[in-house]
Amino acid sequence: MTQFNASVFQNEYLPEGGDVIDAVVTVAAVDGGEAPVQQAAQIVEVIAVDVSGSMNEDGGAKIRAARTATMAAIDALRDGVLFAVIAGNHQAKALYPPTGQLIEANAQTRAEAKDAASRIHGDGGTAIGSWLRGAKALIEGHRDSIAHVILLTDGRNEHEKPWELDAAIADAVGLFECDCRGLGVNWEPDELRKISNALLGTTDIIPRPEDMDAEFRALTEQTMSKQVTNVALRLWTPKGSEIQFVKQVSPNLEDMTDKAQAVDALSRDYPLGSWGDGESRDYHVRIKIPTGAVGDERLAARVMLAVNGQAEPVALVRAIWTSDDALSTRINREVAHYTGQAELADAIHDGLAARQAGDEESATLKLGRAVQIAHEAGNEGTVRLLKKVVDVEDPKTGTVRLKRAVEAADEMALDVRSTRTVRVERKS
Amino acid sequence: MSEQPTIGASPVCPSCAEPGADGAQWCEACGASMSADGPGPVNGPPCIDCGADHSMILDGYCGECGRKQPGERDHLTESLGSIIAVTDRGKRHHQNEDAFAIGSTGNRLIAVVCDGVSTTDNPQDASLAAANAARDSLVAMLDEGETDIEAALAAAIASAQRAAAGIASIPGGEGPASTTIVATVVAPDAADDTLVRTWTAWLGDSRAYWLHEVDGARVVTQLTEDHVWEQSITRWLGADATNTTPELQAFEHDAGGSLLLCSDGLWKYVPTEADLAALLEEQGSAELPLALAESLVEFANESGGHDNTTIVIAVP
Repeated sequence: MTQFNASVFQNEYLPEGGDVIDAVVTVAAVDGGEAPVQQAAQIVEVIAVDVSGSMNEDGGAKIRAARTATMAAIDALRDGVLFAVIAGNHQAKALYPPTGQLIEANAQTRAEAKDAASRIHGDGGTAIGSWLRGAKALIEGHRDSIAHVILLTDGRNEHEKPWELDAAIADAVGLFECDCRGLGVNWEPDELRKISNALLGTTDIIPRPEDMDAEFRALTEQTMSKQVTNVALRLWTPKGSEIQFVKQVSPNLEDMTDKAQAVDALSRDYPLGSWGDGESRDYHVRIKIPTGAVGDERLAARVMLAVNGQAEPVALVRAIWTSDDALSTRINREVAHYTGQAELADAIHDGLAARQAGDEESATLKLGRAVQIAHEAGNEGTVRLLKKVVDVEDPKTGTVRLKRAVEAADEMALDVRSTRTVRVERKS
Repeated sequence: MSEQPTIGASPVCPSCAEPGADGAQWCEACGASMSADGPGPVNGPPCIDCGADHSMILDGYCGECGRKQPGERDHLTESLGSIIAVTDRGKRHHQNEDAFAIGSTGNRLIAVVCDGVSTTDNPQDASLAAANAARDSLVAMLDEGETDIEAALAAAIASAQRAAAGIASIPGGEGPASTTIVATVVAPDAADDTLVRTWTAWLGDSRAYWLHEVDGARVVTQLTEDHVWEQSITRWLGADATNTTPELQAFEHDAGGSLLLCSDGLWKYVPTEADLAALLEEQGSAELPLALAESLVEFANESGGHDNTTIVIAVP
């Protein structure tokens, strides 16, 4: 059975009058060892693949990749998993099974589904909200399951109103998780990020069609590894306090502050979705609390992990007021590291925006700062992506020059992957 | 569990006052134990900060305002007759990282004071573990007939070092727990009952004093020399300690005096022998050791209470 444990990294000491506490909470799911009494949760995988007319471009490379990638995902489905494939354009069609229901994976259904996938062709427009509504109709009857949707698009949400997509996202919250992948460079990162942020997933670019098979297989395998769903980070904070933010900071940055659901007057739940054994994620919380006198100690937060509403305390965030500057000015390494990672994502975001607006001076400054932080913190992958947009003269000082010619795919990759973080290197 | 005899009326639930059947172990109304001393709701003081009911307090923290409630070690006293101890959190530290351990075997009294170093991980555990280990080791060796007190003290400090070094660090924390230690054995001279002997071993800046009177005047003699260089202690116990060999001093005193051990929570306010003597002169009315120790703690807190304060007084 999956169990959760947590460690808190913080400087608990505040100076006289101090009232803001920062802490990084590392949550890990571990195999509790005992044989599960209940049957393991049902896993549901829905593959929503773009079959709009634009998929026929590139001499058919995209539609061929969509076929083989969908087949790769189907191959990765374990026996017993419930699944379906949606062919999405300006509407959602049940590609497999044609009944418009979920079907149990086995050798026969996998073969049938792959056969159906091998025959998809591009036609029509793009209405992503309708694909989400299609997924919802399939999954609705399986509310207790670990439900996941892989959503692939190569274009913008052109054939429905933005509010229709927003409504479809809102309806799906809590029902399934969704990882979004954009193929090529003609899709809108903000659109997919809105979906994946609300549905506890990720957004990424698949720059080349030939990379799709591996990506789809990896996403499906990740879903197969999940053991528990409906997990929430529950924070009790004292009367008179204010949770200034709750962010997932590893494996990627995700602001969760607005996802708070009140449990009682002093406790809030932040949905964390589904977990597999061995998974570990970091969260950065900042809490403003009523100040205390020197020598006082106050609990700033009681950290709990709730599974289906059943909460277990896992860690404490403390605040201690001291007159000793040596204690109150200590910088906690984890907090500083993730503060830097958030600054890195912001610098990339602002730098790219300035570059697009033609403000070269600001773009050079911001992207230079990004190179500097990424270099210091060891974000090797981010440094590589940055180097496709800027020429780096000195990573230590963040001295860079904007490249004249930048591939659109490289710029998009930097944009969507700017929120990927690295962990603090912990000395053994 | 033995059944409680009921006299007269039927038993009532100590929690919700619902009458229960004779012999019932659990209240049918609220589920609490029918035995007043069994498990179930316990009455206690409300939150020291916001006044929330005691039932709101969980793991020592108020469930409303989060305020940490006073712990056992915030103020602790122990009396074994001729040796007494008091420790207090003070006013400026959030927890008491001082610890004492006292004991006796025959006519020999054993006093230990440890002061955990605030800037290390879990110093409060190190000081307590070290003090207890030193005292236990001394009691055991002296009970077994060890006559070389200095050897017994050396063994006791080694035992305290093992205990302090075994305290867990915090991942990503400040480093292994450290603590000072001062341990004294005081006993009447075996041959001459006008004499008293003290043997003291220490590391760091916790002190031992001999208090006596000469011609009606209070006289204080410091038995230790602080291991301090530029306001930092140079010797301590703990996993990262490089020199755990204690300094050892044996003295002979005229009978009639008493031994005082203290942490720097007291002596920082009365750094010299003369300062302490003057303070004791002021506190003259408190002749009982426990009352004297409490008044010294009170003095430290009234002077600012900047640190934890621990006092042990032994009257051989």
